[in-house]
Amino acid sequence: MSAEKPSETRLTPGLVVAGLVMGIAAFGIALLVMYQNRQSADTAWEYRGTLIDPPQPLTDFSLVNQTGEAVSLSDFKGKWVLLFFGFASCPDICPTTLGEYKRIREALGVDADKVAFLFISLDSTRDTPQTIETYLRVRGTEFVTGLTGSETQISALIKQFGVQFHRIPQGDSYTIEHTSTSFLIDPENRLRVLFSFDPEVFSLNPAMVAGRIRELL
Amino acid sequence: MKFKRLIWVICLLLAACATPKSEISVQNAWARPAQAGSGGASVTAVYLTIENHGDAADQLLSARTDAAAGVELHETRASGDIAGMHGLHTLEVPARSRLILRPGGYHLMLEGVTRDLQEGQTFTLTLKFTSGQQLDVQVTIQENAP
Repeated sequence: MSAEKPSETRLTPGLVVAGLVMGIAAFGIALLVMYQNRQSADTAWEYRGTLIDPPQPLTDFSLVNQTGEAVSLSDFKGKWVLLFFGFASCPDICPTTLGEYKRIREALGVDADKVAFLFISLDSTRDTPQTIETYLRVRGTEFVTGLTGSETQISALIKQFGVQFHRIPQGDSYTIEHTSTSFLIDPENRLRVLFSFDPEVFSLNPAMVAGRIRELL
Repeated sequence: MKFKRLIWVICLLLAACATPKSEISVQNAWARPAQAGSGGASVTAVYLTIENHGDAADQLLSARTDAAAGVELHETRASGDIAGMHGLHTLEVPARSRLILRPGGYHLMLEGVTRDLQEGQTFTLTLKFTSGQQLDVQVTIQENAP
């Protein structure tokens, strides 16, 4: 008799356990999906620089380049300028940035000539035009204009960029900790975009910077 | 008698297992080009990967090479947009771990290179660890990370 009756209405312990297991599994999957969505939302955020809007006009300044000639910011009117501050005795951050400038220039392709690349030394004591010339040549980045000036000149011009630097004694020498941002200046000598180091890889992302510049050209 | 010997063997085996041994290996050692002299071009950094296969932590104490007047253990640290280099006394490599020295992080700064280091060339760097282990590493000069 009982065999004829369908057992579907009966709640056997086996069914209860199966139901519980399925419930827990569904909850787990829901949590996993939520977690993955959150993760993809995090990684979907792409850093494309800090846009200065309206563009900030820059006060002109004049320094000396690696061949000993006087160079002013206004000499670059009509061109875009990508600029960073550093010092020649810097073995890590500055060569990394210079290497990325090389890759940005390559990524710019036919537009490369519309952009000037600048390096301004924060080490007025050690960085002569000759030091900077050698430094840029050894790094294979002769296309970069390397500028140097007196401490007073440098201190005055960095204010408008919000750049900071401090000398840190190291043995009988010193190193310099400094703002590692790259600054994009438009053809009217106005500050347009700030590129911070990518916090993930602690360097600039050349493809991103080149893409951003091309959008603005 | 036999039993006693067996105990001895077991003890020895246990002792061998328990003794912390440091087994360090180094890979992918590279540095950017530099030029002999005194200016900024005579400064460069060595990047490499240290693997500790042993059961005990070890520390890199120092490094030296005849290719530079001095080698210093450094770390680049950033706080906000400001980055700088800081000297380190030692570099810890935990047991069964890998420590990667790369741009923007740990590096061995070469000061005053004694000869021009050009792309494709190599030089020998000797690393000294707390465990007493000493390792000769071939550093390749190249512009970018391998």
